[in-house]
Amino acid sequence: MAIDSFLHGYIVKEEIVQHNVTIIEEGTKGDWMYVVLKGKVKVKKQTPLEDITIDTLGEGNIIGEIPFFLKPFKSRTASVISVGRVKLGILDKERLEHEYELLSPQLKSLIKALVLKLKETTEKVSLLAAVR
Amino acid sequence: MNEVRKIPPITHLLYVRGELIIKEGDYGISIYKILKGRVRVFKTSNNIIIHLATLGRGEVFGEMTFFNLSLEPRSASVIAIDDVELEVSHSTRLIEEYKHIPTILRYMTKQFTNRLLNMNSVVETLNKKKRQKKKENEESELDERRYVRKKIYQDCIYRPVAHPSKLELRGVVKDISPLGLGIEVIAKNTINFSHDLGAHLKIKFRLPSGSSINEVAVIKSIKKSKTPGFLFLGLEFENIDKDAIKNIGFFIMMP
Repeated sequence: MAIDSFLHGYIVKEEIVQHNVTIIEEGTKGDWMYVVLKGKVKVKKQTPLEDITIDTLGEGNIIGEIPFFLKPFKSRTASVISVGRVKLGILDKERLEHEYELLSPQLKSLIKALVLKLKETTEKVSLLAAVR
Repeated sequence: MNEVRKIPPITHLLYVRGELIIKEGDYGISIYKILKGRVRVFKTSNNIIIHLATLGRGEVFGEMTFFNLSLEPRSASVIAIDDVELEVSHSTRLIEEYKHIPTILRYMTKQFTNRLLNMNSVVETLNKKKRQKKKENEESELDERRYVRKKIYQDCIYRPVAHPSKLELRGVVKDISPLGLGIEVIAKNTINFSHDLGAHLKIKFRLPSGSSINEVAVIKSIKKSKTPGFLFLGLEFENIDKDAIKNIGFFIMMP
């Protein structure tokens, strides 16, 4: 999948990580967002039994969005780990924040509701998957 | 910017407990905000209800169809758990705004919507597996119970507890345990009284050991019997008398 051109305007830095590198670690604090430029990443979640993969995301996918949209919540909900060699773009947080703040309160609350559901469903999936 | 647009009024709607607010598969782009009460979001698959989320005051639903900006049907149903008050907006203004926000934000919300739809189908699959597992466990428990049921062959008289007339029907007790019993009845018994699951029967018979049993049991299963023209009822005792349990227990333990 080719990366949509508008995304390039938001990339402040590119990074290449090798296989099996933890890009985002569950439970840590941070609100950087990345876009997967090349390769694949898996989204992993800790459960009482073991860590489980809840999703695999490829090129063009934005990762690390939850703390950005759910401020002041800062913790990472899940871990993101590279599958093979992965090229990442770090997104321009300030520009995004600025553009997001210009939206109407109604639209912002809708986006928040969506991201919140994404977070809750992620947690639900991990709980269900942990049941043997 | 001169933005004079007709803003559609926001409507308040009331739903009573148990009422369906959104039906999966229907079309609609309204967005709902909960002012009072709780709702449940669920999907139906092969007549099985899969619970996705419970939402309360201040929370929003119906936004997924909005973000898709498409004419896709609703991906889940929403039902009122309590008496619910909702603020409903069918906002053309919001749709206009959404169409003109920076591409990246629309790109993200679409991506998140799709991810959420994917996750919901994962929840669905996992729930099915869980249910399957539960069913298997229950079946093996049922087998264990069958195992402790002792085979007998005793005539019995039974009558439906809720039936207005003093109807008395005949059957044969074929197995028994302190939890329940199986009786075989002629199919034409159902002419006078339909033998439905959950029906309460008062059953009177004698154990081969001599003690008499006169207890209420509930129909848990109905099958065709191996004997043509007969039905086999699986029943569970309800509020069984302590002495009756003892008598059945003794009888089962006897070689």
